[in-house]
Amino acid sequence: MPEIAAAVPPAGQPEESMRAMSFLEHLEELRKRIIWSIVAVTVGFFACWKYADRIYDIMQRPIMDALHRNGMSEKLVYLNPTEPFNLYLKVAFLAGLFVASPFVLYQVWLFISPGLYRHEKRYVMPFMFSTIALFLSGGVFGYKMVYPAALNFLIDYGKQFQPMITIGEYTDLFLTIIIGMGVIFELPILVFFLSLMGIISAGWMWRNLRYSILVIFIHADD
Amino acid sequence: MCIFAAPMVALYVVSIGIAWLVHPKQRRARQARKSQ
Repeated sequence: MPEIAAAVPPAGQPEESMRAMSFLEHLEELRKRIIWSIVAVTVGFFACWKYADRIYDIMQRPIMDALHRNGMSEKLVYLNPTEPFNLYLKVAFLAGLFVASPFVLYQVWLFISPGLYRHEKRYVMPFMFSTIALFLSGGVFGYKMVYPAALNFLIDYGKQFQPMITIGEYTDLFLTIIIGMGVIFELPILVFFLSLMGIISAGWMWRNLRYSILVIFIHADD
Repeated sequence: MCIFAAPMVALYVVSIGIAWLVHPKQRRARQARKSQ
């Protein structure tokens, strides 16, 4: 089996802790990290399973407020007997994944850090922190501002009809909006890397501002 | 639509600032100014 070098240091840099790992050693390490991550998510799942109904209460609060404000029945419906059970499974799994995510990210870090130089490692923590902070800000902004306003508008718009919103459809919409807002808030990170590589510049972005605003509004309309 | 779009426009403007800070051309110009 050919040996794969962990990394080749740049010219002038000492070969600190550079040890070649074989392909099988990399696979063994990956296997270990995946197993630990699965264990963490499983523990998170069982810990959140007990609170799945409370977590769902928080998730459905925006639609309840919107229905209440428009004088409609504050109950979501289900069309299949298995739907509530599957919903709680899904909620517990996602909440477990969320709770275990720092540990999972730590496992990712343990896997990739031996291949990084000291000067590269210095940037990892600020990068991780800003990525997580931006994602959470996007999620909170979506939950507090965007989602209630959008629901209120949509429910008010269809006032002449009787809503029959299923728990499954509502959960999918909720996750799409909240995770979508989290991902959208990562735009500065994407721009940071594209600009660092010289692919885009501030001047180019400024010149295309009007097209960007157009695209943003078209996307927001979806 | 405006509630969705407003933060995205704000993030785009912030991103322009970030792009200006980290673009290689700007960094080279700053280093040249420092060394003078």
